[in-house]
Amino acid sequence: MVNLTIDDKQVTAPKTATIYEAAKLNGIAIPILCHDKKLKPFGACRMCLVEVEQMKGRQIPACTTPVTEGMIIRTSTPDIVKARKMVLELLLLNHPIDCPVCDKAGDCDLQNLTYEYKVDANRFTDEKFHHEIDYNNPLIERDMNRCVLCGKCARICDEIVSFGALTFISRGIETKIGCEFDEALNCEFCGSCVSVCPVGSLLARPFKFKARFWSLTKNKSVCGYCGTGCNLTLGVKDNKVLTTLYDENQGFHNGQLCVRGRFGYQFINSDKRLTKPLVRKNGKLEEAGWDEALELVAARLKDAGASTAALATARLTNEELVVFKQLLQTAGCGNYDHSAGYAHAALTEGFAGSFGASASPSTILDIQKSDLLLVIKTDAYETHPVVGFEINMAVKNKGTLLKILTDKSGKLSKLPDARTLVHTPGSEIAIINSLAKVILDNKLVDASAAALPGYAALEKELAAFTPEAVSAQCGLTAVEIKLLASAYATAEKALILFPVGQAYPGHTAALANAVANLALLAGKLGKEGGGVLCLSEKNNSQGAVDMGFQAGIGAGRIIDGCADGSITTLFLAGENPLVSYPDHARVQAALDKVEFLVVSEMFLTETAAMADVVLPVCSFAEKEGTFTATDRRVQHIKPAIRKVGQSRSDFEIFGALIAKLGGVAPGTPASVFAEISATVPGYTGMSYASLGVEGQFAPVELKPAFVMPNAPAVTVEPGKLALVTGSALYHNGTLSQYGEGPMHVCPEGYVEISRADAAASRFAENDLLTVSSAGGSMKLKAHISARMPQGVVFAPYHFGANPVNQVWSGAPVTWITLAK
Amino acid sequence: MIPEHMKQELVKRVSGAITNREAAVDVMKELQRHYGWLSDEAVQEAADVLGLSPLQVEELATFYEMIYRRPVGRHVIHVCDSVSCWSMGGESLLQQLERVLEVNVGATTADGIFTLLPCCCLGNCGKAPAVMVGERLYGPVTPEGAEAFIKGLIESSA
Amino acid sequence: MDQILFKHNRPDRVISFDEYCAESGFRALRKALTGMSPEEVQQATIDSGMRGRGGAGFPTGKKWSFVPRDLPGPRYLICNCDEMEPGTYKDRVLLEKNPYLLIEGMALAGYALGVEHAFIFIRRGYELAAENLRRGIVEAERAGFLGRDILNSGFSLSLEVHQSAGRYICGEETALMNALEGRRANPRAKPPFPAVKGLWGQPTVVNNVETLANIPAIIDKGPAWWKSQAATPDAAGTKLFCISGHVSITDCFELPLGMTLGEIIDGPCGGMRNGSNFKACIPGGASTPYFTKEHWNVPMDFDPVAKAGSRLGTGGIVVFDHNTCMVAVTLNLVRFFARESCGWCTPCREGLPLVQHILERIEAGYGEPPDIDILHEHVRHLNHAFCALAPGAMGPVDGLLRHFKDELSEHISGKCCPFRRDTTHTC
Repeated sequence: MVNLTIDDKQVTAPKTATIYEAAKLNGIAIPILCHDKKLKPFGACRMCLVEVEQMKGRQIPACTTPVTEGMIIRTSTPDIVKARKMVLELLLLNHPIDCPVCDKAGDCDLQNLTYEYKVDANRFTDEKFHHEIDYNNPLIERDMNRCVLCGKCARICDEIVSFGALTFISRGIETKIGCEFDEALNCEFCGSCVSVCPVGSLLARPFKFKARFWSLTKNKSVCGYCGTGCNLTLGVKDNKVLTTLYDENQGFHNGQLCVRGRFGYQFINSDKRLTKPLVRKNGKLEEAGWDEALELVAARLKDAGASTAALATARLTNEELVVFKQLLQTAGCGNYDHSAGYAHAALTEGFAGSFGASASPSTILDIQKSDLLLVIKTDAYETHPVVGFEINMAVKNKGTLLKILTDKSGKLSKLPDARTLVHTPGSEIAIINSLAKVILDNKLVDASAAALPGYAALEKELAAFTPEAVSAQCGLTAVEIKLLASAYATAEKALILFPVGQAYPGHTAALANAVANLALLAGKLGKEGGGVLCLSEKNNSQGAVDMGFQAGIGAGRIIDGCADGSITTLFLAGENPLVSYPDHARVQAALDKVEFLVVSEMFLTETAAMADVVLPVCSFAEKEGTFTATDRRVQHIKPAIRKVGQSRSDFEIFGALIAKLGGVAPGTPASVFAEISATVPGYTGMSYASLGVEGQFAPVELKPAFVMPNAPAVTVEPGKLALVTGSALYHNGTLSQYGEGPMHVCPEGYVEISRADAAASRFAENDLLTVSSAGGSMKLKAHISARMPQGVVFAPYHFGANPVNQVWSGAPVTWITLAK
Repeated sequence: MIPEHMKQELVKRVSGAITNREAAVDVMKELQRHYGWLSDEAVQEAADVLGLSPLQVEELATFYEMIYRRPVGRHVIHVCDSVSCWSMGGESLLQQLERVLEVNVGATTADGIFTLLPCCCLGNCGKAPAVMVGERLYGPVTPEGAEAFIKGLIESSA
Repeated sequence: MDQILFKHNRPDRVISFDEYCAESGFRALRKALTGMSPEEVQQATIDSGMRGRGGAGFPTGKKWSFVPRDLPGPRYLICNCDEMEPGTYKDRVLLEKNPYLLIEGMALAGYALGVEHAFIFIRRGYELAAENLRRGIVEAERAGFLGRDILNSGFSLSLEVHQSAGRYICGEETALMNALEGRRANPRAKPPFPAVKGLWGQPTVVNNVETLANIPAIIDKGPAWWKSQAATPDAAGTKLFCISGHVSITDCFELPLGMTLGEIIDGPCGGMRNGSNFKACIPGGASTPYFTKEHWNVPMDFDPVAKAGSRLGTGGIVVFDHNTCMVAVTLNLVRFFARESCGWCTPCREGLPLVQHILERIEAGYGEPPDIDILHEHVRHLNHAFCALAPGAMGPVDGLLRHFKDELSEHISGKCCPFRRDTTHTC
């Protein structure tokens, strides 16, 4: 710490602080335009000038100048105020000053500073800019006429998003922020640039002319898409969520969001929302009252008893899952599950065996503290973009090494010095076993490993996984495997990341075991910045695991049970298996066959359309409860708006049904959370108060052991292409289909093929191809890209209009043919 | 598209640099020498050779005076308009050249041979007014001598 | 006095490597590598009183001494040959005649600094100079004066010529480092200073061509001898003055530092050109405030020029006769700086075009009295810019306001430029 004087106030600050930071820490505000706490200091706008006595009273920028012991600083002398006023006058010289029609008004740094410094007239005159406004995409409007060239958009796109869609073009007074070849913005549309723009140059188009900034109520929430657990501020007016607002102090991610979080909120107030219960009458779903619908469901549950089964989405709150369980138990139902059953197996079976706990030992906060990241599948960026930002920052700012084991390259591969090892699809478990084998052979085993249960067996079982043997089938060379193993083993702190989810059937319990073995052998657990982090798909996937929403025969056999008649009643809470579960025909047959289908949903999904009763539920923005993020950060959400239409929360629905079945309905979400904190391991002692705004990690108690994973043999069907499924960057599950943002950017399914395969078959971009597998065939548009290896094709799974499960039966690799 | 041998040479130049970016200006200049200006195609090729995105090349290309992102004539006549040359009649020289070439400053002659551009100090102030054509310095080129100067250029390039 | 830098010059061509060697070339390098420690070379440079010839006049040896020798990784030396300051052409003349002094000087500086990789950043348009340097480097390498284990001393140095694509701002040392790294040549924030964190984040020294070309003489003949070549006891060494504008002989001369302005103009420059009288001059390149007749006897050395309200700068003297409109001169200079602004910071990007427009208005006869206040304000305010470009651009405006206020007022009150009244312009 250093001592300094700011505006006659004796203060201290860390010696790494800049004058700006030191002042802020001590409650002294210095105006800024180009500075952002997340970005590298820039020093260009000259608003933050201060006088330092030791520098002969020269005016120097507070944002780039480090503090030194004894510094005497003045932040607002008449001279400084004059200088700042002049900066504003100069900036307003070319600025259109069109505040009345600018969506930024009220939230505009330039406007606020102009007001604060009372720049009520400009002594200077000059010509205004005449840049063409970029209206070419539906999400982000770029109006360079309002730009003050703080560069924050270009900087965040480079430093955090690592996309590089924007940069400074030309020089001097002609400088502007431009895109490739001076064309329209075309990027991943995370909107980070919009979030940091201090003026109205970059605006969220979906919010355009919707409301003035000051008329919005700002309500905090947690994103309802993936398992990252990003915090949101929802801009609400007239009971509508009109936008997401940026708050640089929010969450571990400092307000960073991906395209879903920022532009995917429209499902909340979508016209397509179900507002009344629906009951099938004469083969048609018709609107009904809640009493009628619930009575029908309760009666049916009573009758069906043990032949009832349930599948829930992992988007329900922890409390809802607990109450759902209670309902099912009251009804005598012993078979319930979530996430297609296999999407949580890495945790419930894999980590449960390897770590003695169904949770990841590491957190997202470890990423930027790591020396080496081993990412399994570049898809980790697509599934969890904000985790991807953490990886970007670790690699770009902290010099963290990045190694990627993947079946295709991806955005992460482009990071500085990233090493991407592209293997044949489905061979990741064998490769990880081989890495473990190299660690054993090269005596890189950590001292702690040999004492763990299963060590001797592992040593024996791994004998078959020499790099030479594995390299023969995995597409990597033995040398590549050896180099990766030694890089991993010798890194002081190494973290393994891998996504799981319904589109990643190969990321099984066995993969989790293999990964855990590797980390245990190399002694990477228990250190900050090291360990293993499984990235689960939905916002409450980890919560569903922690709440134990899994009993009986499992999701796959529940579907089969419907088909064979052993299950007569199926309760689907937010789950849309017709689109998201493997084997469309099988699910369709099962749902056709099951006697009574209840679906609680926000939308009339493909699955809900088949139901006998549809119960309209509300979104995360309308309810109270807790979500547990992928790294066991438990967060509290409160309603941001009143429930839409007559929709109810699943919590209320399950409670009402329990009452109708003669049970004791739970009190409030708070009382159920109190119950959770009394009974669920790791949640002990938590309360809404202790969760606070940042949430609270549920600690994971490890009892490590080696569990030998079964590496499935990859069968190759010659002459066919290997189809791998996964997530598109803009989507998560099937919910994002109801978000305008994601659907604007990625409106439909596609099949991504390598340039070589496309050239060989003379496929062109957007050609409608027939995809055929042993399971069926379907049509998808061709998307040709440089990242796919020859012989491998990729298809995202989110889309109800053309669900990829028509050709995909749940195998990690599906062998297909393509034809025009 | 640039010929393969040229691409190989550029790749070699890049691999000899401490970082790829260090060679960016050289690569742009070579491509400009080939195309006459740095076309979008050339920007893309520079990006490929340097391992950068086209936008990363663009931000450099638009920074420098001698990288042309618009087509120019076979010979670019740079007329110094900085203070020494200005004091020795540089302004009149530029006007004379406009008249002789029948183009406005910034434009290219109809036959595509000459582009007339003002430029900042050429470091030839002792021989003001100074002119640079391509990479060759001339001076003093007086306003009165403008016509003869252009004639000389045409003859020597013929 | 002796010529130090121009001693070897042939009238019509570049000196050859053999000729340079025959005229005791590389003797200083041999002397240093066989008999002096790096610290002694640095000390000799400090003792010589050498101040940087690129414009800022910072003591060279002191600059070297800021480089920490204990940081891991390489250190770099960069020769700044981005000579783009209007009115300055001394480095070109030197290198077109003799590239070897610079090469030898860089080898000596490299030795003093423990540098193994040095760059010469040369502006576009200096093709002959660059060609000479490239050839000279190959010759020096062949003769064992560059490359691995020079003269069996264990010291190695490779020298690389990097040619720019033309921008004045590249001459600012931190912008130069960005340019060399292949980034946009915006200046960098200081601190960290280049001596600690420069090229690729490593300790880096940036010196001007003329500065480095003087090192061989300092080492060969000793700092005391070198210092004594100046015209006054306070000055040190010789200086290349490059003259342009309205004098009889516009050329680059090597002169003892500390000669007065009058001595230079009436001496080597042969006086004002026919029939004209001295009105003012730019004493050291485009960013230095004007000198007028009252400065005729100011010794052209760093401190005396600064004391007289200007800067010695690069030694590029641009002389104006009595027919010259100083508003027009200033407008020309400001237009240059506005065009060369990198656009990074607000005052420079927005302020310089504004000053340019105000001067344009005044020169065209549309000026208003408040314009003068705005000019004053900018002279003060543009000091708060990110780098020295904008303050430098205000040098001439400052000079105009201090020395030619009447002329300025006459433009405004007469609603026209008094120097154009009887020519093309009608008021």
